[in-house]
Amino acid sequence: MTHTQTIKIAGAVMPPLFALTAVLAAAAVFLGPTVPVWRPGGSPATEVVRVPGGPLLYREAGAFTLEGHEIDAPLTQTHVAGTLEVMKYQVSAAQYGLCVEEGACAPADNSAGASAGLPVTGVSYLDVQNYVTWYAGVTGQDWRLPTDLEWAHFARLGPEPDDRSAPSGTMAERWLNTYRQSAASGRTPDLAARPRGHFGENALGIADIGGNVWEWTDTCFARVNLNAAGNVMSRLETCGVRVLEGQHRAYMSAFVRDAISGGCAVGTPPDLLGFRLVRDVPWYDGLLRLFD
Amino acid sequence: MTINDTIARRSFLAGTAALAAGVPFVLNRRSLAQDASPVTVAGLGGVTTDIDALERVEIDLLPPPFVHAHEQVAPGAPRVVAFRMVIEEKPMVVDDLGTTLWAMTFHGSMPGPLMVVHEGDYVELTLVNPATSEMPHNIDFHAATGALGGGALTNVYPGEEVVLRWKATRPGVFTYHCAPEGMIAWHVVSGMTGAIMVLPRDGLKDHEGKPVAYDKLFYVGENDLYIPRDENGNFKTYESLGESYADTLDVMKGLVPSHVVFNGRVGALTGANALTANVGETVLFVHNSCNRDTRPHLIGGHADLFWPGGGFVNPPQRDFETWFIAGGSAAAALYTFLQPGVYAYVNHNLIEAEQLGATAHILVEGEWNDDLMKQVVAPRPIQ
Repeated sequence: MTHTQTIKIAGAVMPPLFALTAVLAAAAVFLGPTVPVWRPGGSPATEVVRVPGGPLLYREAGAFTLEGHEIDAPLTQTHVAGTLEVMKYQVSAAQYGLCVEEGACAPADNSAGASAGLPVTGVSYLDVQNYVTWYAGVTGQDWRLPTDLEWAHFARLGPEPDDRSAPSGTMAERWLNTYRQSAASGRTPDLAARPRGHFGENALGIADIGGNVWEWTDTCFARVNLNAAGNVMSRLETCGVRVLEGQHRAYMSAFVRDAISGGCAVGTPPDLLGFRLVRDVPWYDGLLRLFD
Repeated sequence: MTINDTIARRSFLAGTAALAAGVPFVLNRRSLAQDASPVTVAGLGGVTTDIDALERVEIDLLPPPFVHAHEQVAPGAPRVVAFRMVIEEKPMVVDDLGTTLWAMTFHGSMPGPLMVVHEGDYVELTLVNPATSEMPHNIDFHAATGALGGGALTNVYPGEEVVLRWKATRPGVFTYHCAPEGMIAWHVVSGMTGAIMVLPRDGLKDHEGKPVAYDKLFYVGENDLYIPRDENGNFKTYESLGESYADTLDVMKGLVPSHVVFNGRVGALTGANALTANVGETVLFVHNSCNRDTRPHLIGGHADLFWPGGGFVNPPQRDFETWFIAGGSAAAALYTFLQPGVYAYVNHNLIEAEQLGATAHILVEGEWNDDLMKQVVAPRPIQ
């Protein structure tokens, strides 16, 4: 199966929750203590969706220029190599709260009055790094933020729109056009987090892609200058700014928790900042399948 | 609201009684109210004008940032310029989060509409306070002379209207605001302020006394708002204007506004509501700030001419990067756009501009002038 909506274990296709339990149980049986079974604080185990690698059309994140004119990054045919396990839902306020309780994470900005079943919001990239470290320690697994490419791969939203693939008009015209397009989108902020799953699932069974919680990725902001032939003349990465994904792509300083006050001078800022983690499926995963 | 109403009513009565000693005010008011046969009013220097002999025009007010049609040079002799303003108390959303202010407004907008007359004209205002209002209101014109700027002669309870006439003797831009005794600040920070522009009869003049004209006028009213928050830090909403009073007063006394907005709400003059102009067009920015000092700045532009304090009798000064408007006044700045692009017109206390709302955008079309500015090298890694 190319689109792994559920995890295949022992020849049966099961809903993810059961499947995960089965995975963990199987792991415990076959691999003993090397793969810990973890149910933090009695909360439901983290549901994951397995996403095989594959090809995709991708528009790289960052600011691109073609001979000095700002353009959108060229669309390229690329691929994701390995299989990923992707959290089906964004990390919840309850899950994040465990990290806070243990003193490994700072409380989220929106923690006052936040319901445990909601996705955690009001977290910066730096907060997420603390969570990643803590979560990896607790689970013994290498959970991490996805790269922007990986996010694009599992989000299945298609590449970013092509507004400016070639320079057209004067600088001022492009500036005004960009402003007007942003103004015409007419999006008004939607700042109330919704219960996980509210925004539905994509074709892979991953929930809440493109809802009102934007997701941090591990990808740094890059400025890339191209020449007329499309060759990269220079590339400078600024890792103090990271790429956020959601209804549209955004760039945000790593310490920002609230996009409304933290960036996006022109254009509509993300409503809420949250995250989900991924991990590379380990090499011994194939061994499990041998026992099918 | 009974308590507040009672307090307001008592204060009002006290204020009126104090002014009753100034008999002429009372007489004038009675005459006007009764619309009696030929009224004469003493003008400057004891000159008596036969008001009924003057041409009378009635103006329909427009909401900001627009202004009613007007002539920059007076077409003839002084006139009676009649306006009708209806007070509206209503909840108004002041930001994109849906935060709601129980607003009090002149004619439904924040700021109240811009009125334009010429020096020597008579402003005749009918101020209407609908029966649906909770509050008594009045109006104090900083441009007018006497009776608390008209405030003492215009107290209207819900269901009442009043007519005030005053002579525009001083050219300039001036603020007006509601001024019920003891509650002035609350009415002002709830939205009851606007501006009137009294043009010289022969129009605006530059620093050398030569005539200048504007192609467009942008009317910006700056309001500091003090919206109470609940224990979780969320903005509170109230069932009625009166219910919002006590909490709002507490926030007001802290002197830290929750919002500082142009034209009534965050984003009233940005995005789809951004102002527009063309390269070569001359724009008069009329900026009203009734309660707090402000310092407009046009990012990427200037004020070619600015009339400090708002008075048009004084020669304008030139080439401002940022211009000062004292709280309790309005002022005007003139600028001719030289480059296309997006401009931000801000209160250059940038915390207020960026975080609290005091920002407008102007989209300017036209030909870019490389001589004035050019990006010689696009951003690249340091060589």
